[in-house]
Amino acid sequence: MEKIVQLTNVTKYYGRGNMVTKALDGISFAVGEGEFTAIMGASGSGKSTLLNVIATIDRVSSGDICIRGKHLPQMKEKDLAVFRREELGFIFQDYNLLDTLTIEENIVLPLNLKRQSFVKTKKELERVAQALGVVDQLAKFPWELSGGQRQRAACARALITNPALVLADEPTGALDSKNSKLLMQSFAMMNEKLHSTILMVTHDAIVGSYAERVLFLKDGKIFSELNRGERTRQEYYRAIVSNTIALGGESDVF
Amino acid sequence: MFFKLAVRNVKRQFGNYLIYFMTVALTVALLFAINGVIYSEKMQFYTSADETIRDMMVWFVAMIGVVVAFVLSYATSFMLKLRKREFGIYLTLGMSRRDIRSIFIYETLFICLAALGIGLLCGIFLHQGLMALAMNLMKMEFTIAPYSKKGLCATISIVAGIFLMASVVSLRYLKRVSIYDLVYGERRVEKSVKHPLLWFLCTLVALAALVGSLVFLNQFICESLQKEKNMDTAFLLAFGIFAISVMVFHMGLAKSIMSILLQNKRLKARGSNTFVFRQLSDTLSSNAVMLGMLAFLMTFAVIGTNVSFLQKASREESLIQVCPYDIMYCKDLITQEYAYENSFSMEKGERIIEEYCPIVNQFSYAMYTTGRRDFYQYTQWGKGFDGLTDSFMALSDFNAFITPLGYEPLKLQDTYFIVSIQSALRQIDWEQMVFCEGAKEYHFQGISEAYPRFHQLGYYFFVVVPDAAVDTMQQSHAMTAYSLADKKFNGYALMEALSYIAENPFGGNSRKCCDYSIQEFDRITENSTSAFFVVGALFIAAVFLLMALAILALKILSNLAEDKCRYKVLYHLGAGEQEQSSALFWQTFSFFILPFVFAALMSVPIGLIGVEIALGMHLETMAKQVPVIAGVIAVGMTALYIMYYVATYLLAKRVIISAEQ
Repeated sequence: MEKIVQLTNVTKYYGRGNMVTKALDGISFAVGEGEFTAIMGASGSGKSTLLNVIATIDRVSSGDICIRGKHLPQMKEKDLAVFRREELGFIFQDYNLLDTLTIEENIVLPLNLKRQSFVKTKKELERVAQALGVVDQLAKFPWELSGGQRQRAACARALITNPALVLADEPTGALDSKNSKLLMQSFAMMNEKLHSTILMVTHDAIVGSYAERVLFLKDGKIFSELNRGERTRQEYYRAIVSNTIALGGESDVF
Repeated sequence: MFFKLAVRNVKRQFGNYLIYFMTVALTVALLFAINGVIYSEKMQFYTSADETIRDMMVWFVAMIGVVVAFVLSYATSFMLKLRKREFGIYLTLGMSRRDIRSIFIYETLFICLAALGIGLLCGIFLHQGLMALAMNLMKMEFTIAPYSKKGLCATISIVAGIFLMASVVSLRYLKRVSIYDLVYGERRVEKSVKHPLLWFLCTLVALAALVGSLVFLNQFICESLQKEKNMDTAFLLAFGIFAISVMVFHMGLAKSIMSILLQNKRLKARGSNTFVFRQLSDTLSSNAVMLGMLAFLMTFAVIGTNVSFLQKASREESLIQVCPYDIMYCKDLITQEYAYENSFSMEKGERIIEEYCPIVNQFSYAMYTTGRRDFYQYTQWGKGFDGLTDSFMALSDFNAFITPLGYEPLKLQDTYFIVSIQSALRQIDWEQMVFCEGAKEYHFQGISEAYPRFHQLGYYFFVVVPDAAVDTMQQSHAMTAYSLADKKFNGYALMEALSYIAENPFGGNSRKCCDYSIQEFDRITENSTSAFFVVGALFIAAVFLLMALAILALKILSNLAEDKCRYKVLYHLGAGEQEQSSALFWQTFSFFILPFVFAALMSVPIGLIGVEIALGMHLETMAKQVPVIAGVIAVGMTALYIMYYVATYLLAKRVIISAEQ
């Protein structure tokens, strides 16, 4: 499996002088193409910081992040914007859909920013809208949809550019259990049918159990790692909960 | 504690307060400067003959003060919205609404006091600038003008009024708004514009009405110059249609333009176009009425300023027409309404003139009358104006008068020539009028309005006839024109010296009379009146423009919190700083420019109409000045506009884009 993401000894400090906080402490791991990886850990473990540095929203203090052969710490801000546009897809807890745009306009916005041709944009829209089941909602505004529909629209927006990596930050955080389940089924579908590479941050063990691999973070370091392998989802879930308890953190359970 | 908090808030929030502060300070400076001009002793002296103008200006400035107070209180509510989350947090932390109100009132007070200080400081210089402009318009030498206490008091009173009004509006808002709305913002949802095509149709209809009313007004003015038409109902109706059309056009455009652009899928698919169009669609449609009103204010600011300068230029040039020689003497030999025993002899008058300035040239001429109404009977004054009798001038007198002024001498052979001040007389078929005098017939040769006025008495026309024709007529006026060595004399004092009191023989009031027209005196009084008009119009235009700019700027800045979130999403989706800056530029620039474009473009038709008026009035110099005046006004307004826009854009960029990186 080709490595899409490679982190090597990534460190991130906040503050100055005596008030330095080490948010990430020499993290190294790789994500292969088409892999669905979850990152779990207690509050303050560095989950979101890790996602932010991979998302190029924040810079590393040292170490290297390489995505599809591009070394992010060496890239300039201008190139990073192009990189985000070309290679990354984002899914946020609060959807981050633009309230002034219709769902269709929200979904195609990344392609518009890429100056993609109108015909190709239309084709891509049809593909992702059908895959995520938001065809009937395209003409609506975000405030006209339920939370689950909004998040599926956000997924469609994240996938429309065929990004190398989809980054999801607590995607079910604002959803009820039913919609959470539906969304995770969508994630599984995105991974299996559309072959999307997904890196998801969550503190929810059920949500984590949809990923093939779970990385557990503690105090800015990778504490342990779980692979689903041949396990059923139920068994995998139990293993995640056990690992979370061993981590000394908390996790949402059934 | 609240006092300290307010001081700290003002210091830290100065970026947000900048536009508000700039507007209040500039308004104070303008008010102080204009009040200084109105109450200036120098201006009061020269406009003493026309006190109504000054009184009118005082009331006008007070009225403008009230408008400013309303607008700035509206602006204060924007400031509140900009900081609603902060106040919401204060409330959730347990502060009472009263405490919050105290903090905001202290803050507004600081801003108003600081703006008053800075404004007065700027006003000191602006006052000298306005006085220099007024003196320049009056063609008088400028000396540093003293400041008036009355002007200062008037300015402080108006600023106090503005502060009170702003405080009342803020207190009302803070009393009613819920904590939820303060913390989470008043929930804004994108509302699609209803019936955008209907609004677009309204825009087109309004545009057609605008063009139509402008064409009509232009034609009306041209016709009135030829036929002496008065301002009638049709004129007022066209003007009303024009005013309403300006508003409807902008409202319709604001409501429809973005919806129409959003229909074009290919256009909106380019870069961040969809984002910009949607941002604008919401802002423009929800502020359509406000934009219409701002466009209306700015259009009339442009028209008012242009008209004031046109009026100034026309008065200045027509002065030469009204009194072409330095001094003109005119004695009525027929009318005996007043007893003129106090009047001077010509010799005494000349001695008085010589005391002020040496006479270098003089010549006498006369007007005659037949006592009949041979010519008047053909005119609109033919019936019911029995007191008007035909006036005549001998050809030699006429040529002696016009030749030194650069006109070609007139030649008559058994013909007569009509000198008129009204182009309407051209419409009469004078060919049928054969004038008989002294057993001789004189036929019509021509008519003209291009000659200057020959005496200070009111007349509609007089007839130039060969010298032989006046032999049998009665002399009605004895007149003399004087050319002086220079114009460096006090026209006011000379007028005073040449005036006398004429008693009414029928027991009525006596009156001050003067048999002389003094060009220098006319120039000063005319110039000071028109200087007042120009300075007043400039002040009103500047205030209107300032208010419009402040509202537009604050409206943009008050939505920064929401915009910041949206641009953050754009950033996450891969829009670089340049792309975001470009989107922000188009979003803010389009909103800012919409009500201004039409107003600025109005300079073109106003200039063209002005040129036409000037040519119609035979004021050649003025015709050349009009485009320059219109251009300078447009450039001045654009400069102020750019200054406000750049400040707003940079502030918005600092909050929305720079902070994000």
